[in-house]
Amino acid sequence: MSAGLPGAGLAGLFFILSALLAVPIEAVRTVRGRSSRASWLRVTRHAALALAMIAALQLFFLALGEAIEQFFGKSPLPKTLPVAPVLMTLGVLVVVLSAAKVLELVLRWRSRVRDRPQPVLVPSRASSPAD
Amino acid sequence: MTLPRQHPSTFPLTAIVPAFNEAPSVAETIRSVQEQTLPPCNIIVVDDCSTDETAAVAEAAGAWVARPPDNTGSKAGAQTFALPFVATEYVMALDADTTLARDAIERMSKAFEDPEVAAASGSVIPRQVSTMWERGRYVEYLFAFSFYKRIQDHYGKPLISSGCFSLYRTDKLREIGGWSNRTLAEDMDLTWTLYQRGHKVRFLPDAVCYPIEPHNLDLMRKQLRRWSHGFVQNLRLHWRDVLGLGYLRSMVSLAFWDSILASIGYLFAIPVLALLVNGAFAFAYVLDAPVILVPVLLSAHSRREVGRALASFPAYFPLRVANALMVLKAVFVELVLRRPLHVYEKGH
Repeated sequence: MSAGLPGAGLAGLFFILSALLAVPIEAVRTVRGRSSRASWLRVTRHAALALAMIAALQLFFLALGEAIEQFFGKSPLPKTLPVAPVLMTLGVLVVVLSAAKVLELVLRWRSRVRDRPQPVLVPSRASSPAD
Repeated sequence: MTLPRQHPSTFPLTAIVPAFNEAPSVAETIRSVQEQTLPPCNIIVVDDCSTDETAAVAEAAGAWVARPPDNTGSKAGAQTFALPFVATEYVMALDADTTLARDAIERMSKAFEDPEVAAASGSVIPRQVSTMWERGRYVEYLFAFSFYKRIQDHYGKPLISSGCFSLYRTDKLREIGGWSNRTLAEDMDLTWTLYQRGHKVRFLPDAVCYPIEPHNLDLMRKQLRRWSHGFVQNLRLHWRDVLGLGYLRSMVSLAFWDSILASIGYLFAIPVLALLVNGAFAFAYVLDAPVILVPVLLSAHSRREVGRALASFPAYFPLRVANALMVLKAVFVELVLRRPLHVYEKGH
């Protein structure tokens, strides 16, 4: 995320998804005439890097599984990228992002209620003390 | 009082270099600014009541030296002290132990072709890479600046305009009162404040600076303590406003929860599972190594430093555990005990 912050799972997945999502977003911008060659180069670079990171993780599991099998007979680790932990991380990611969005909506709603003009009681002429 | 221009630069920029006992490094910093392809008009070194020869060294190197009557107690205080002397359209913050690549300012100046941009920062690479802590930081920076930060910039919200080297529009900086010392991470505070005011912040990967990073555990501990507390303090200060800023909201909420969950994992869950259930759980410490290695090696390749990156790579993991410890402690002290840290400890 940033130097000094230790996370890698949630943030890593978020930025990989951000990099991949940038491609369809850029496609929409292109259709609307708001894209450029430089922008496409940037988006392609980010997406390629994200895909390379996923591929490297897959290769790592394969190599690790093979190596453990070679030396110890049977590997307790899967040889492919395990889906369950990825889905679990994705689930936490969705929960965190949704909670932040819900909190924003609640605060916005509360400030709208607070800022709403209060009804003012205007005494009717009949009951006015001046009468 | 404002300064007359020292250098007839075409780019109206003043460099502010806050310094407290920086005699060994400040001359090299000033020289790297003077040798820029687009040098600033003025260089102000704020000698924050140093007890060494910082002022004399800076003056001899050709900078204008400002000295507050008392030690300001923080980098933010020293920088803001110099702001009234600035008479140029742009101002640059540069740490006294940080040098610049020759074209850093020229590259960064391009960000301001967009009139909505109020701040810009560039890539950071440790100048010295020899101890384990410097090597860990080197890998951490290569990863963050070649992947995370570029994507943040693509979505228009770099998380921080790094305090060690950033450029700002002077009027926008003055509008918000300069650098604030209400948190220990003045750069994060400033960046988020600029977003709240509707300004843009950019990250220019090709504008590179080289700070001296903590070389031992004691200095690293001080720096991480400041950063961790600064992050939590900024969360407490800005959370309501950050919630309304789409992509920044996502990043900040993830940074917070990722830091907590990862810290609990590294410090408690993984060792307990490895000791009590199966030793193979210890692999979890390095399970994401390939994900980190890919952008690190690509970035190192473009810098012709693949050997250095590979040799430094293992050092990233102990640094990450140290990060985890400091973040968890900061969250506990700031949010649970409600004891904010105010003392600015220098750790580079």
